[in-house]
Amino acid sequence: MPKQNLVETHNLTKQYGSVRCVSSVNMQVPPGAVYGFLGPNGAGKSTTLKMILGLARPTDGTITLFGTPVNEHNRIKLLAQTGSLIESPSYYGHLTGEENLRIVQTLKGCSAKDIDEVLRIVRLDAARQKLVNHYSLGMKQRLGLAAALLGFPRLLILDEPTNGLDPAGIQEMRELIRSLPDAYGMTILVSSHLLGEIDQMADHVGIIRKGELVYQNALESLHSHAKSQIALRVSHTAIAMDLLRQDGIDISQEEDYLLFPMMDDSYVANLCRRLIAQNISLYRIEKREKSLEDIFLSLTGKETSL
Amino acid sequence: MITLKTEFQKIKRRKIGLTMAALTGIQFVWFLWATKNPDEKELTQGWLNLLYSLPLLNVIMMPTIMSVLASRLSDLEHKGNTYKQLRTLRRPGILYDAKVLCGFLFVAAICAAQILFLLVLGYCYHYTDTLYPHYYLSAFLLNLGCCFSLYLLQLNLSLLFFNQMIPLVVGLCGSLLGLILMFIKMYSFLPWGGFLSCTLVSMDWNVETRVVTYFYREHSAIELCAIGMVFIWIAIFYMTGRVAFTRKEV
Amino acid sequence: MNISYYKAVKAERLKLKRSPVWLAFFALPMISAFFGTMNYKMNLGILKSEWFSLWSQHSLFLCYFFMPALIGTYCSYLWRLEHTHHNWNSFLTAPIPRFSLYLGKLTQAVQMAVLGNLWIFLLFYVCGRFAGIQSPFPAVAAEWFVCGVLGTVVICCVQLLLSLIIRSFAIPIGIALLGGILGLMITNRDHGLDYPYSIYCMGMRANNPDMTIDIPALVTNSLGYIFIFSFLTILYLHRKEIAAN
Repeated sequence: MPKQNLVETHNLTKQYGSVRCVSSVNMQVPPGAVYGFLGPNGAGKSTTLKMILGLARPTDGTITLFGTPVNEHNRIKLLAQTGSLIESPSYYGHLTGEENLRIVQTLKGCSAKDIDEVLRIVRLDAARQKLVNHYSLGMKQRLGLAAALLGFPRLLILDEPTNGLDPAGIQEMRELIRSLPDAYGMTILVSSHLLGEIDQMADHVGIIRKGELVYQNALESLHSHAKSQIALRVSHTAIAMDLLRQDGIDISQEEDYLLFPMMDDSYVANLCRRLIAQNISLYRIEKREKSLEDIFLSLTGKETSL
Repeated sequence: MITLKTEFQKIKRRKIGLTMAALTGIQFVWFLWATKNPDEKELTQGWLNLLYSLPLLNVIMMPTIMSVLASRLSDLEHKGNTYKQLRTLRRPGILYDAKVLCGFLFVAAICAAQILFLLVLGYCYHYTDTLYPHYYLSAFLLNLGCCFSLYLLQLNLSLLFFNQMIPLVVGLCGSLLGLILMFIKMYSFLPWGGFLSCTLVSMDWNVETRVVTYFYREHSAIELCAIGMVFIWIAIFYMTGRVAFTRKEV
Repeated sequence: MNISYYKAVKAERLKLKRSPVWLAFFALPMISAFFGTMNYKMNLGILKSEWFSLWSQHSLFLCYFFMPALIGTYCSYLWRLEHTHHNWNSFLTAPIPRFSLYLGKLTQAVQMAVLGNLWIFLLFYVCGRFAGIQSPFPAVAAEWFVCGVLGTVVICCVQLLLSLIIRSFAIPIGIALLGGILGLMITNRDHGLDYPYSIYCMGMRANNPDMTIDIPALVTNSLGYIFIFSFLTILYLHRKEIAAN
């Protein structure tokens, strides 16, 4: 029996006026996953996450958290097992980092010892007595993450958590996020507009484009889409094409190259021998990679900038 | 000039004009309420009465209205965290001047509306005493001076403090102070006392007959000094505010 | 419910650390009391009712114009904490019912307003003794205090609703001032108890300590307004996507 998904949305839709920001999204976040929610800016990532957290009201559709459909009555109970960091970090600037966490700790009702631990995790223990107004943007972001971690919730929802961090900070944040499922048994739903970032930290991926979830699966199967191809340039393209077709190979032509899926070495060697036997000259045999980038772009549409 | 234009672009949809109109409008309602159903005696000194009441109503309302205006014009910069960007586009002194000028236009509009309203009111009631236009013109100019000095004070506080509670509370305390100073007959040299130093009409209340008589008053030398103080306040607030704003680290 | 209310109140208290906003509630009554007493001493010829005369000097302007606006300032401050720095996101995702979150804010506002009123009465007593009033402190002042507090809570509820909906800091304060001024006119037409901003002045017997008022009406109207405005605020917190704007 498959394990219960931690987050499930069914036909989740959000409409502002006549604009559909989120359209029939069926998201499934399995337990223990780092689910990368990927899409260009303005594709509807934040709105989806806000609806899951009850910060925005869905126009249509349902949300299930921890196997329970969310409604007004159980919302609070479900939120208690959730930590979140949406858009920019929330903070009270006239208070210190520690005092800010104390407020969240009070509201979540978790142990005061958690404050020390989350401060250590995000490496803010040295700055705990400093006013947040004097924090750098990266420190505020880490404070936001610390607040989300308080109480060590089962589900962590992070919206663009690497915003405003320097390269070292970004790397650190990614590693931290990747370590959380094993260290604390958390499931993480993290959004980003950078494919490379999701590739580095997620094991599941959902891609949203213009409000629609266009792809959702384990990250590995996205990689399997990134198949390599063999490109062939010969003196008589038409004859070579016929030959390959007879072998039942799916073939396409791109300029004066013939493209077909990756084959094992023995087939390629055999093919060369047969081509030469028919007096066809071989000019080039190349391996072509279709990168994740290409797949992502083809899924989200090339016209949208990242 | 362009900077001033951007000030007005920034406050689009902030409904500042509407807010100011509503606040001033309430003052007009107050006037209507205070002057309703005049008897024979009141008609004979209607124009005097209006000029007597104006500073009283202003000392109660204007400090708060000015603090609302100043806070409204400044708070959008705090909330949008825009100083850093603006500083790279304009010298801070110019930015400050634009805020001052923008506020001045609002203040002038409010003061002009007040006087116009009083004139219309007086004509509608057919007050029988003589209308001396130069008294009304003086009232306008003196009011404008007082309001503008308070606006500058509030603008400085609103720009310097992120916490907008500070300037608003200063406005409230000042208003109360100004009002009370009037009752203990101390025409003060505090900025909020300006309205009362600038009063053009006095009254005499006869305890026995309970009859009120208004008259245009002569200003003593010390009161003329107090009027002069209003303009000194404007200079002081403008200069200190500009320096503080220019030096403020963002 | 009880435990989440307690949490909300504690969190609000933590947020107010390092912001000495209570100073305003300390300073404004002081100004009023100081100058009110001075005026009383200077006009002993016409102000002959000892404590009652002194009270009218202390309370008149304070209750009509300044306490409503000051309470408005405090309510604006309480919501501004959430209106800035994206705090709505964390405020509304806390595992606390929105009803309790509102009660947390209301508790802070009422607490401050009650302390402010206590301070007004303390100043009244001290200034009276200082001004040399020999007669005993009027027991009826206890009634003024209780009625005044009820009126204060009404203003807190109105202002919390206004400052929640209007995100500007200053505009709700302008409205509070207008509310007080309108209250003056409405009280003058004997409808003071029907109007949220003037219940406070009526309860405090500002300006006219000899006035007898309809206490049951004051209590019912106050409770009614408290209920209505609290209900509207909670409704707004539930219906409106505050964090989304």
